[in-house]
Amino acid sequence: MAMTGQTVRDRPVELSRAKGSNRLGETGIRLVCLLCALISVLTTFGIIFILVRESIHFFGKVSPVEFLTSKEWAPGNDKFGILPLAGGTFLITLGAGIIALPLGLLSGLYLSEYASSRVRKILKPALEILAGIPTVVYGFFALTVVTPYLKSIFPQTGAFNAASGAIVVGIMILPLVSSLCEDALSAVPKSLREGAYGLGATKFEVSAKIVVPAALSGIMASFILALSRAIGETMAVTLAAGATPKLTANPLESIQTMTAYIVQIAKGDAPAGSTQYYTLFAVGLTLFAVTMLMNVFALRLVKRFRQVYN
Amino acid sequence: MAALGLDDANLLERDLKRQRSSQLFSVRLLICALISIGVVIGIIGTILVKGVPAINWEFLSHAPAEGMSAGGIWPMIRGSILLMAGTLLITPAVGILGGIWLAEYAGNGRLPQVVRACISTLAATPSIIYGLFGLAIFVLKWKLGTSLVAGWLTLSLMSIPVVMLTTERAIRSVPPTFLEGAVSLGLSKWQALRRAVLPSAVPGIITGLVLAAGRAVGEAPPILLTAGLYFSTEKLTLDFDTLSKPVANLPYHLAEGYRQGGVIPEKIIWGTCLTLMMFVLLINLGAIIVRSRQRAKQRW
Repeated sequence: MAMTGQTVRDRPVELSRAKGSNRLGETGIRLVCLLCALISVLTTFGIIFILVRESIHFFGKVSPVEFLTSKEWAPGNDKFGILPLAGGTFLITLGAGIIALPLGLLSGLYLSEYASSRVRKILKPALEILAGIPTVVYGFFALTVVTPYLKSIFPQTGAFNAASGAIVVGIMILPLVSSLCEDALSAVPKSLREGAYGLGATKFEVSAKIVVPAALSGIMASFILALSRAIGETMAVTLAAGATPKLTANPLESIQTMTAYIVQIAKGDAPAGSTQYYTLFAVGLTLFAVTMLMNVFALRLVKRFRQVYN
Repeated sequence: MAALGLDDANLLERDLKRQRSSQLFSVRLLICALISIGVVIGIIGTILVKGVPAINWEFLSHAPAEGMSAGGIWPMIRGSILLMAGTLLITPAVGILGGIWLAEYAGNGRLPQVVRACISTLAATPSIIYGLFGLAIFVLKWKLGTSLVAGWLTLSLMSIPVVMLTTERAIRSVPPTFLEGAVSLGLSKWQALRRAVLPSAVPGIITGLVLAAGRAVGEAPPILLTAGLYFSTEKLTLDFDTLSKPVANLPYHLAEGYRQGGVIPEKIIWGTCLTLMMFVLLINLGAIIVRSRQRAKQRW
């Protein structure tokens, strides 16, 4: 009796002491976690701040109108029109999209609707692994395998050409497209499929006329994300597509993308404070703005998709 | 009656057609999926076939010799390992704690919305932009120079948002009853998180960390701008000087080696390609195996 009384009295004292120190610790831990999360905000605004600040120096020397409309890019001769670089990036992105989007969507559809769960269990991680191959490796592959092959079909193909870059970038974003499409497709509620089957639809009709339209905004979002990845892709296009800023629609010619320009100049040790150094940030800002807008757009689409089905 | 019979026949025929086109479609889809996988397997296969002849113990463990036309690539492998180790030093604490905040403390207010928007922006930002940021801040403003430390910081910034996202997902995949049960037994929220929730989330968190670090090390652009050195033949000296010196590494070595055209024999370049690819693929494979093992053990 006495013993139990003792333990009963002792415990609450210990507990409350522990509680008191805990509360302080709890708040502290919460705060530390918050601070860590805020680093992402800091990084984002840091990147925007740096890009804008250095670009302002650039636009003090070159008018934004010239930058956005002039058709010649030759920093050595004070010609600063971004169109040739943007055109190069567009050509690569377009080519990569033509290859990766249809193939990726159909592969995703296969994975989500047709593959048995055993096949899916092997293929999905395989795709994830493949998405991790370093892009330099793809660049080297483009130069030594794709370009010679193109040359054997089109003899006028240059040693550096946009087509080989576009092809490897397409291959590179393919796993991303199929994986994201698969996510979007398998998120379509089962009841929709069952309803269609109940009405006597075939598997093809269910897939193509029910599931794909239902997942359309998710599919579009995955397309946009993949294309934005293609726009930001650097090493493969630097190696494969060359360093000739040129406004052309001919994929067999050498071009230069925005990313490739940044690598070329930054590696050449442009002295800090020179116009060349500031061009890096003006081009970087353009690149960042484009990918950010695409990301915002994709998120909007995904959100709308979620609202419909959740 | 006759009209009805005709209709029936038509319907039957149409049904057959529909069935057939459905079967045809599934075959076409399978072909597409096979092409997707086949292409990438083809790339890996080519690199394996061309790279394997270059690989031997000397190639992996010696420095380049005779103007890089012979010898190995050990200093570059070492550099990549150093870059990854440093990234794994800085990234986990910040990324995991940030992820815990997102999953357990954030709620649905204004601030978490801003944080989420920033993280998704960062995750979609091209790696070369991080390179530019690192160049302007770490290399020039903080006067770290092109150095191992500048590389660590840049790669960490790049990996942190990804780790936050994967950590959040890993924690959220643990059933809420774990936390509720622990709290109802009298544990404080942090104690409950640490004892009941985090242990179940650890494999997912580690997978995310490793995938992020593997990606960071394979990405050439940020390293190019903040930490790169074309090649090195030096022995490693373990002192603080190493931190402030640029470091040779595999992606830079490959990019520059090919750009300079003809300096390095093709066989060695293929060997280097293969080494870099295996470096990253083995890391990823390890992470994925850890995750699928965990999933198999999972009981909820």
